[in-house]
Amino acid sequence: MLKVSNLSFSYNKNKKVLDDVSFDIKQGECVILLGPNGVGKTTLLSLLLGNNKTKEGSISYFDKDIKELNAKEKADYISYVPQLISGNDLTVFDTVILGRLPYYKIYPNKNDINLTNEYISKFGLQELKDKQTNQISGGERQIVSLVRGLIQESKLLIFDEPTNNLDINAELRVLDIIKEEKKKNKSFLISMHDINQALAIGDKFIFLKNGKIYAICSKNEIKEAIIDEVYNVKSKIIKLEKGDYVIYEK
Amino acid sequence: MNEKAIMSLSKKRSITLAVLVILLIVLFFSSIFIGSSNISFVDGLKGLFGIGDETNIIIVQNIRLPRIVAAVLVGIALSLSGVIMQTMSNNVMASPTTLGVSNAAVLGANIAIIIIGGGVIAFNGGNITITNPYFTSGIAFLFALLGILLVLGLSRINKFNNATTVLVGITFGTFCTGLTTLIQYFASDTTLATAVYWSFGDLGRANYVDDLIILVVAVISLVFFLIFSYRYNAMLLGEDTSSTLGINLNVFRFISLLLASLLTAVCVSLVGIIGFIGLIVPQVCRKLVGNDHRYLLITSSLMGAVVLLFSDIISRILLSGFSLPVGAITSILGAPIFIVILLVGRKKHA
Repeated sequence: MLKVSNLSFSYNKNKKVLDDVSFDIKQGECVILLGPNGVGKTTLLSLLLGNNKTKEGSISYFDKDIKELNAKEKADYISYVPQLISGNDLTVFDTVILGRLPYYKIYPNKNDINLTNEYISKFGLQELKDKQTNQISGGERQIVSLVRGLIQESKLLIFDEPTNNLDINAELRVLDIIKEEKKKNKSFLISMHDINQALAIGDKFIFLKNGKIYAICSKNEIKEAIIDEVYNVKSKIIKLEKGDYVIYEK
Repeated sequence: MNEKAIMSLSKKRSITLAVLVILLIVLFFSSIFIGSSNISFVDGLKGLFGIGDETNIIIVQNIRLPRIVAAVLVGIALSLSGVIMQTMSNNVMASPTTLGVSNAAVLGANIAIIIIGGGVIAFNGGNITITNPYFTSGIAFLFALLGILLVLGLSRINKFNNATTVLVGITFGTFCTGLTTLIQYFASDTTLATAVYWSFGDLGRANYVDDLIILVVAVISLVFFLIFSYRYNAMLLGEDTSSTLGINLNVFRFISLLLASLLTAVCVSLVGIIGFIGLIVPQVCRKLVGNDHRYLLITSSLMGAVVLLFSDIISRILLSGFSLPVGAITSILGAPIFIVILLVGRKKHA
C-alpha cells in the first residue's frame, strides 16, 4: 500500500538527513522504525505525510504519488499521531471527534457522535470524556491521541514514538491498543526507541543509521550484530517462551 | 479539581456570553443619548424610532446611529480577523497590524491624499473633513488587498510556515510605514494634516453605506469561520496532524487569512486604524472561553463590539462637545490591559 523509493532529503545542502531510503508496507503489516535519536525517523514520517517537498525519490500510496493525493484521499490513507504533545483546552470528546473531521459535511453527524462515544468507552476514557486535554496525565493524553487516530479509520496508521515518556501501565495500554487494531488488517508504521516493545508488536523492522537504511528484517532475522552496529551497544537476544527479549549494555 | 475546572469552563462560557449580550444592549442604548448635544434617554429613544423633535431624529438617526452601528460592526470585524490570524499562524501575536494590512492601507491613503491629491482637506467650523472620502478609502483598500496578496504570496514560498507569515507581515508593514513617512516628509502642511487625520481611527466618519459594506463582509466571514470551526480546532493538534484530517492546509490557510485580512482592510479603509482590538479581544476571549472556535468566534465578536462601543463612548464624553479619535482610546486603554495579560500569563507559567 505504501511504497517509498530512493528517498533522500536534506534541510540544507551540506548534510543529507535521509539518504536513498526505500521500503514498502503491505496491507495488514506492522512496520517498526528503529534507530538512535536524530537519525531521521521523524523527518521520514513527516515526508510520508507529504508536508515537506521531496526532491529526490518518490512516495506512493496504492500506486498513486503522494503529490497527487487530494486532502480527502490523504485522510483516507493516512492517520497520524505525533509524539506526546501538550494538551489544550479542548475536551477529550471534542479532541477524539476531530478524528472524524474528514467525514463531516459541516459539523459531525449522529454517526460521528455515536462512534466517538463508542470509542471513548471502548478505550476506557469514559470518565475523562468532558475533561480538557491539558488537565489529564501524559499517558491519558497519549491514549486520547491514539484513539483520535484510530477513529479516523484510515488504512495506514503512522505513530511517532507512541510510548515515549509514558509510565509502564500507560505503555502497556498503548501496546495493547496497537495489538488489538492489528487484528483489523490495518497497516502501521511506528517509530520506536524500545526494541523489546517493538518486538512485542512489529512484523517488519527497519533500522536506520545516519539517514540510511541499515537493515530491513523480520522478527526472526533480527541479529545482535545489527542492534550493536546501529545503536553502538553490546546486545544479547534471549529466547523466552513469550518471544525474544533483548538486553544490552554499553 | 478536574471536575470543577470543566464545570467552570462551560459555566464561564455561559456567563461570559450573557454578560456580553447585556453589556452590548446597555452600551448600544446608552450610546444613543450620549454625545455633544444633550439628548435625554427618552428623547434619544424617540429619535431612534423617528418620533418627536425633528432635530433629535436627525441627530440620532443620521449622526449617532451610523456611528454606533459602525462601532459594533468594526469591533466584530477586527476581533474575528484577529482570532483567525492567530489561529492560522499559530501565533498569539498575530493580529491585523502584524500582517501588515493596516500599514498598507495607510500607505494607500497617504498616496491618495498627498500624491494624487484625492482628498483635499476642508475646515468646517473647526472640524476637519476629507472632501473625497471614497476615493481615499478605495485606494487604501486596494493597497491593503495588494498587501495581503503580497504577504500571503511571499509566505507561500515557504509553504506558509507559521513564523514566516507573521515575520513577512511585520517586515512588509514596516516597509509600508517607511514609505508613508517619506511621502509625508515631502507633503504640504494641509495634505499632511489630512493624511494624518485620515489614519486616526474615527467611527464618526462612517455612514450607513459604510456600515452596510462592513456588515456584508463581516457576515460572510463569520459564516465561513463558523462553518469551519472544527477545522480551526483541528489546527490546535499541529500541522502534521491536521494535514491528515482532510484539510488542504495551503488552501485553507490562504482563504482564512484572505478573509481575515479583508475584514481588516475594509474597516481600516473606511474608519482608519483602530489598534489593539484585533490583538487583545481574541486573547482575553481565549482565556475566558477557551480555544474551541465554536465558542471563541461568537464570544470574540461580541466582546469586540462591546469594547469598541465602550471606547467610542469614552472618546465622546472625555472632552465635552468634542470627540477624540477612538483609535487612540483603544490603544491607550488596550496597552495596560495587554501588559496585565502578559504578566498574569507569565505568573501562570512560572
